[in-house]
Amino acid sequence: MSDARLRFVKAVNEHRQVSEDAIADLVDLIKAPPTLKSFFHHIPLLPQVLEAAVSIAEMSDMDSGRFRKTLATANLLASALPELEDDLRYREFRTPNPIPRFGPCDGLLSSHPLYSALAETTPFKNIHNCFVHLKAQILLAMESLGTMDQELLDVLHVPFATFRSLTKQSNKDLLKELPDKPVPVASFAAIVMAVFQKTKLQTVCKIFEVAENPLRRKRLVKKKTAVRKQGLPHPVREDDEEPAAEYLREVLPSTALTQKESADYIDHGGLPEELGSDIDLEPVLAPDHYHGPTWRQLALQAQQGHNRRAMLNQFCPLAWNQANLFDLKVLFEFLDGRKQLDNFDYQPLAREDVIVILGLMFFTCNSLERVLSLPVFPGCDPQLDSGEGVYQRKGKHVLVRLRSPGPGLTRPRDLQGAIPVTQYSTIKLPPFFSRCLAQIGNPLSAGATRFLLIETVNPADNASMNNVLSLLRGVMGELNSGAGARLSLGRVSSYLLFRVAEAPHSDLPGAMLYFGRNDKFARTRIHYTLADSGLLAATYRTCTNTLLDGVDCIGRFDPEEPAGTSGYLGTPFCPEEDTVRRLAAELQAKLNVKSLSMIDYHNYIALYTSMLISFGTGYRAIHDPAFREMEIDPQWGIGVIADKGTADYRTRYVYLAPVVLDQIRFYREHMQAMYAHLGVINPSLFDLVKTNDCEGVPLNLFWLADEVATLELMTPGKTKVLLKNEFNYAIRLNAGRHYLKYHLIKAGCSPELVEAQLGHWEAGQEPWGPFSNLDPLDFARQMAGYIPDIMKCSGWRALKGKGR
Amino acid sequence: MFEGIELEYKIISFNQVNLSPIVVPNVPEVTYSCYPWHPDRNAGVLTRDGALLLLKLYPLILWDKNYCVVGRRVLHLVGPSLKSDDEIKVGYMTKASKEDVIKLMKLEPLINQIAFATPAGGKGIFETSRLIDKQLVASVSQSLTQSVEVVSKMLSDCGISTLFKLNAQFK
Repeated sequence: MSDARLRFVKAVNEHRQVSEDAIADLVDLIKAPPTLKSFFHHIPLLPQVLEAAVSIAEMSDMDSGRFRKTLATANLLASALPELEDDLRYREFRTPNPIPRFGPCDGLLSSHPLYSALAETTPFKNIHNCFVHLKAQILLAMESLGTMDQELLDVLHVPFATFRSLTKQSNKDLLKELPDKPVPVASFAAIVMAVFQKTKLQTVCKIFEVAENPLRRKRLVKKKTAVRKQGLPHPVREDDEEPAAEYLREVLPSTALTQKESADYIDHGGLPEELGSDIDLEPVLAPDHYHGPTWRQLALQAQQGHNRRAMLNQFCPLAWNQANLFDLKVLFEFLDGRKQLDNFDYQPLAREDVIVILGLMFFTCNSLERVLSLPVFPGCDPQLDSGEGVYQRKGKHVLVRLRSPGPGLTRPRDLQGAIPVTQYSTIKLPPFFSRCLAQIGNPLSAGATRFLLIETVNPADNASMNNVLSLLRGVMGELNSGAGARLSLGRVSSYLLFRVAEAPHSDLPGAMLYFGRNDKFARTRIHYTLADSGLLAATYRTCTNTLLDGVDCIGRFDPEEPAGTSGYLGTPFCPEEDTVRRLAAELQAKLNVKSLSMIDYHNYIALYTSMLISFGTGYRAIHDPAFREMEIDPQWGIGVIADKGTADYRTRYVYLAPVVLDQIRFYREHMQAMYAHLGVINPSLFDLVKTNDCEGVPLNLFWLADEVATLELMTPGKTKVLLKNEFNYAIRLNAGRHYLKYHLIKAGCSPELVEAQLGHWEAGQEPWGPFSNLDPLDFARQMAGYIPDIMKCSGWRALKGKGR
Repeated sequence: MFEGIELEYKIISFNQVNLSPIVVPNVPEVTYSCYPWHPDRNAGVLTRDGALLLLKLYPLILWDKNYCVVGRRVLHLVGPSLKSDDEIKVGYMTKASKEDVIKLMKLEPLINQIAFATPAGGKGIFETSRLIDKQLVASVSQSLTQSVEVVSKMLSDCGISTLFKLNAQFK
């Protein structure tokens, strides 16, 4: 019995003689809370309700004994109420003043619905009896349910909340229809159903439904539980929580006697000690309530989901900016004459001119200004030294020659050993375009060489360019409105560029080089790109044939016909494989000379390590390409490089191939030996160690003139001079980046991974930014399929220094 | 020659210590019993506590411009284990002339051989003394060939085994 109940019993017994059990029975019957909040409010109301309940119980052939006893108790309490209310010691049982919004039992509805309901009164005297009998019926119904658990309370919450609104004036008429005299329980339930059905108060019926049919109650409860379980798995474990541990559980072993057998044995004279314990202990695993991801995993999943949506939001506009096959079908029907814009005014040009311009823009992926500035050479074949232009060879396909944006300001002597590149890209246009030209009398084959594609339009003249632009936009608009397409000059001039860029062994800068474009957003990457023009021509042919098949057009490239294009476009600083192999072999040969002094050996091993790291990681040539020990993770083959600009933005992960890691390890051992040998006499070497501040062995790559000379870091300038003087290697030191990129793309590595390794990104495309999904370990695993092979083919291998 | 040295004790930070470029020992002939770096760890062979203890036992002797003229081997050993701002107690030679310092530095390999008990033992001491100018060795041999007690006073941090070897070699 709670403290409040005991105090209440004591208070009552000061004035009347009422047993503790009787009060407890009454309190239990009305399911009062342990605090007996507002119990004084209930006391004058209870006798009427209990009297009605007794009558109803007798009428319904139910046991009315409990109600009779509680009725007597309630009458005694009611008689003692004036004295009790005057006693200030028991003011906690009084009705709150002022009365709260939802009555004296405000806040008890969810936990003690019956107690809350019994406190309700109606202000209308003519329906007072009806309301009392309703409360009595509810009391009987709840008594049949026994103890109420939380699930049942949840089910009954809404019906009792509705019941509370019955006291409103608007519901007075409904209450009138209820009986004002005792009615058997079963009949009353039917009456309530009939009265409240199809009204907004019909949920009150659920009180009687639940009491009538316990099975239904269970079903209702189960349904509620099932709904709860449909939610997301709830992580009940923190990230740092220990897993489920073993504990000892009490079990009954099957070999032990049962309790009855034990009792029989003892009856027959056996000793209880002989039986031993019938309870044994066995180790079991504690129940693991871990049903889902941890908070940290959930947070990571949420971030990944957010990133995916962000990526999608970026892709949608990209896809929207590109033409689709339906758009291109409309365009091609216009180009080959199947679709005519009959009443369209092509001024200031002719329809044929528009077809030529649009065809060239589409198949050369260039802007209107660039196309219009192209000279035309009828009947000519391009030579090696030919410039830009459209070459209409007799009886052959149209060739377009475009200037490619590879760096051209280099001296030939600086490029000894590098792959030769050409400045111009030659694009053979598909037979489809020739057919289109034939339909309109091939204006490109007529006349002599001219300096502009359309002689009447000068690209330098803004006024005439605006007229042409308006005309082409008008044509696009007419085609779009007629067929429901989304053609625009931008979509026309970029479709094949993206298809070629997406092809295997190709990337966007490579495609840009092929189409002679130098767009700002790919300019840095173009600088490092060496593109095989033969491979790009083959890709272009494949993409064009696929497109023509997709739009049901004839005039494909003949697959058997050779591409007729060879050579390389782009960077002139990419060394040939033989050049790199020769350099590696010569450096290794130097280190094999047994008569080398320790200082010379150190100089060559530092140079060798420097070049190996440059070629293996794509380190920018800005200082000695040395890692600190804390920047290397040998287990996963990942290093951290900050070789450009602000370290917080340009710092990146790079993959470290096993040969690079081995070489760094050997160099570390070599450095230990060098310091052991020279640390007491070479002040600059000592200073290097002194300033390293316990961060492992300093792995700086440096040059020593002699044992006590000040060391010189292997900066690009120093290394370049050494390589030039001793190995006749004159290619720029950044060549490692060009070489690595070319070979990675050639091997089929994803361009995104290549740019991540080299540290090239545009704003919003950072591989290691917060919106990137690139996992460094996945990145390392992917790169492990390419870079070790490239290093092996180039002849790089790890060489031991003067370690122990 | 050791009698005339006056030392002033100072506390300086480790990054103020400089290695003296004045005298260079014959490097290929110098052998040490251990390397400064631990072979398997990214740290010195000594722990930081060990390095600081070694500096207390064998304080560095500095001269002008904080050049370490005696104790270069100790400096060599503790270098990988100390941080720039570690404060160390050193002896500072305020009145020594350059000639005195050069003599000391030239003799230091021999003192190291004696003080650090190299694997070469007495043979190492003998061979090192051969590499040093004979007159210089002769000028100090008087002191070094004294009794064990005298030498132990002179090199107060010598171990018993070192002194035993020393005794066996020179007597």
